[in-house]
Amino acid sequence: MSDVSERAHVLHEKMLESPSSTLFNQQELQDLLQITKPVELLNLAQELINRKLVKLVKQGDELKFQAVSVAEANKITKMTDDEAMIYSYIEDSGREGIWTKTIRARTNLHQHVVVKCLKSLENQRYIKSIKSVKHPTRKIYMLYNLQPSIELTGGPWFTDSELDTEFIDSLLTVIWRFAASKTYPTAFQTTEDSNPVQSSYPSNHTGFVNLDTIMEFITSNKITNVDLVINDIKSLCDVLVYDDKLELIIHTTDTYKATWQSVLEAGSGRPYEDKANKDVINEKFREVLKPKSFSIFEHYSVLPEVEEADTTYLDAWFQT
Amino acid sequence: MEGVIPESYKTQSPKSYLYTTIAKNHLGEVAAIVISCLISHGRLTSREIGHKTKLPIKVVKSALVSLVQLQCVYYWKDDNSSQSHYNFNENGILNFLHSGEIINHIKTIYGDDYAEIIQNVLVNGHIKISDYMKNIEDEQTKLDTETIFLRLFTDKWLARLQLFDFHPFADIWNNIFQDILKKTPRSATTSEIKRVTEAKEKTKVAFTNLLEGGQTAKELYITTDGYKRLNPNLIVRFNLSRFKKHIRSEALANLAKSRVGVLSAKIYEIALGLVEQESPDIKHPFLQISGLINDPDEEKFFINSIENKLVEDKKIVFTVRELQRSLPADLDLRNSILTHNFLKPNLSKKRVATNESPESPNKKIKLENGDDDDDDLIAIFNAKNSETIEDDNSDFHSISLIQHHLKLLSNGSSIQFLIETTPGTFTIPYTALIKSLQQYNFETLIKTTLGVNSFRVLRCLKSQKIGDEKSLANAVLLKEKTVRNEVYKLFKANLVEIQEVPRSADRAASKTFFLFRHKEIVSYNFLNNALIFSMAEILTNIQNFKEDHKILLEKCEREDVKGHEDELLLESELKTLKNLQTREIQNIGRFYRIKSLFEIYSL
Repeated sequence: MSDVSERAHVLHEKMLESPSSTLFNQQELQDLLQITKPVELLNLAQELINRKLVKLVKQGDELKFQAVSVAEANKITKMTDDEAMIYSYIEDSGREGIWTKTIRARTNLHQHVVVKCLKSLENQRYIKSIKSVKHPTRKIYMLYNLQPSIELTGGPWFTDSELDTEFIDSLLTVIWRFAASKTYPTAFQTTEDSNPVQSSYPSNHTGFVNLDTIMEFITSNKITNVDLVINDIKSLCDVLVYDDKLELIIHTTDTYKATWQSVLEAGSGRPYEDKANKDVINEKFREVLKPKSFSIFEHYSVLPEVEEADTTYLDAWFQT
Repeated sequence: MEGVIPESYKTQSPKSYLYTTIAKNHLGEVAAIVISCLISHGRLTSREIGHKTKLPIKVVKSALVSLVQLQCVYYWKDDNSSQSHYNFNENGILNFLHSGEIINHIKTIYGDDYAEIIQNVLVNGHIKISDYMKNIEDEQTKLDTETIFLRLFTDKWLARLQLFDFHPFADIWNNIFQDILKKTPRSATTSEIKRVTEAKEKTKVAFTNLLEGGQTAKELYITTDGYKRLNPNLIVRFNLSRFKKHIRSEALANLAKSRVGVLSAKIYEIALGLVEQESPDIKHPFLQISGLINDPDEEKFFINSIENKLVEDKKIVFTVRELQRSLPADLDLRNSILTHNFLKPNLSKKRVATNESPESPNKKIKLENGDDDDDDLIAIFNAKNSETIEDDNSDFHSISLIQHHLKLLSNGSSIQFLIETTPGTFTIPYTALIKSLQQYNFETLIKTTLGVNSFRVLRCLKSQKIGDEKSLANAVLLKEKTVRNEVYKLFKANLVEIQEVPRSADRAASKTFFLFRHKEIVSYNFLNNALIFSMAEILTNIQNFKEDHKILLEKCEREDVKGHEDELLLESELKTLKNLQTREIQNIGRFYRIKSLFEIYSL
């Protein structure tokens, strides 16, 4: 900064006092230093621009000035011209990042040059390469200190731009279990006061889960450190509805109850079927409850087929 | 014998494969050939059948006689021609298909004697009651048998055999229609369309009269000395549509079991039993006549009108008290509904409870509900108090508990199993339920065969109506690659359709993208065919492996071997026999499982 004139230095300081990325027009700059003649300002501005301490930004038809911090200016002055040009495009792209092909098109530089510059910038940790969920094959760059936008990362479901199915599945299980415990009070633990075969809330019961209670449950129990919004919970609930594990309560838009089938499939809710549990219900009662016909809904109680010569497959007809 | 079952019976349609296989197993080769021929060619005369099957006309004719008797074949003779035409009739074969279950069901609800009569009726196709009585010597047994016939007849398991049972409905309809049309005068003031519509309406009445005719008490019953019995000259057949109603009830109860709970389902099952006899037919004869009711809206209206009429006539409604009387004594409903009694133990219990422990679980659950739920609890509590019904936990079947279960069935899940017409009176919305029944069975079948991911994708696609890979992947939170695989699996099973959306004029494949869509009716039909084919495959399998051990099986059938198997057969032979038996049982088990699914799509 030593080689900058006193007045230019003052101008720069004053510009930096405003919040960063403030744009100044010519008049505003003149007012900062009480300069009346445009020519005088022109000299100062040129001086700062030469030292990369001020950037010119075109807004509409008007030309505006923006201050650049000293550290930033030092960075840019150390770069080659090509590097600086590429760096400025990457900087402009902000949190969205910019595709190498776009850089090439905008700068009109040869690919080799672009690649060389990008490499050098990356080595100096000025920029970083990121992956986009939407375009997994594209090489996209952004400034080193920026966080990629949600568009690029794909939201909370993506870890390293891969859909984190494990994370999703565990959240789904947590939500389902929470909903099930609110729908069927004795689904996972029987109490002395309840019927071991079925204990339901009456049809006018209202204590089922909704998006807010699920959200609260997840945050208060610190189930995840990923920030989730109500919409994310909604999409999880939608998936559970597709899985037939939850169902929307009629005439509501965000209140859910767990389906009984899902509880059965999870292996709960049928301790009475086990003949070993003699004290749960008496033999005559069990006899009354014995299924009379095959029901596909009880597929969990069917023994798996051992591969055999006479096994027939559902697709036998359309595969022939 | 020259004729053989043509190989095409397997490939022309799954139904042809199944029906011909059943005919072959139960009725023999000739019957199978005739049936297969009628299925592939439609209406034929006996001469044409003989020509097409290369069977001697005499053999064809004698086969047709028994097939007609067993209701496997319809016949039709035009008024102005002497030639009889024959059609395939599904009912006879379906009787055979369901026979095992029919007999078993009759046995469980009525007893062995009843099952025996049903079995005899099924074997012979139809029976004249006096003929059946001739074989019985003992007077008491005769009286008992008469009572059994009467009971089965009033419960509609047996129906009177009438001439129209042997004719195709469409022909009878057409005959009456042409007759009436001729009699309806043409006049200058009415248009032709009006005349036809008028004739149609008249035919509907005449047709219904014909179907419902011959059912007056005078024709059916004889009362001697105040003792009512069936007219011995009556010829009875098994009423298949009655059994189909039972199948429907069973399937609905199974659905309730998976959606609401075991006890509610049990109550539902008994409720269904109460109204089963009067419940609407699976398929009204009008719907079987092509061209009569074409418009889907008209069809829906027609089906609903039948159901509404039954509700109005109080045929398919039941009250809580009726239900309470029919519940099995061992069905313990106590504590199955967690009302305030559960959450706030009543006074008597408090007095008994000396230590805190039995109450603590209740308290815990109450706490889990959080604060805002307390209001609800109080609301329930107040609502309950305002009702005069008392909750008595010592009674297995208290009215209040039953009522709670019925309420759960009517609005406790996304499916409305019951409709409360007036307080305490309920009816069953059959038509609407069949839709849910088929949907849930279908989806569960997808889940168990194609996997949970396919299930998720399919249900998502259903809710989106139409969607592409990306929108599906976003909604189901699965990797795009997984979604693509699942869609491919579904597509291969013909469960989703692909719609091509070209984005350039030349329809370049690289730019085109594809949308997917699911159509229920198409998928159900396709699936049903797959099920029918699998059933036929199992039957063929059983025949095949029996064929492989033909010599051994024949040896067992020999007079000198029967009863002395242990002495006369080698150890290895006994082992093979045992294996064959378990294999057959396993296959029959599979067959019945598939059949139970197939039935749902014939409802």
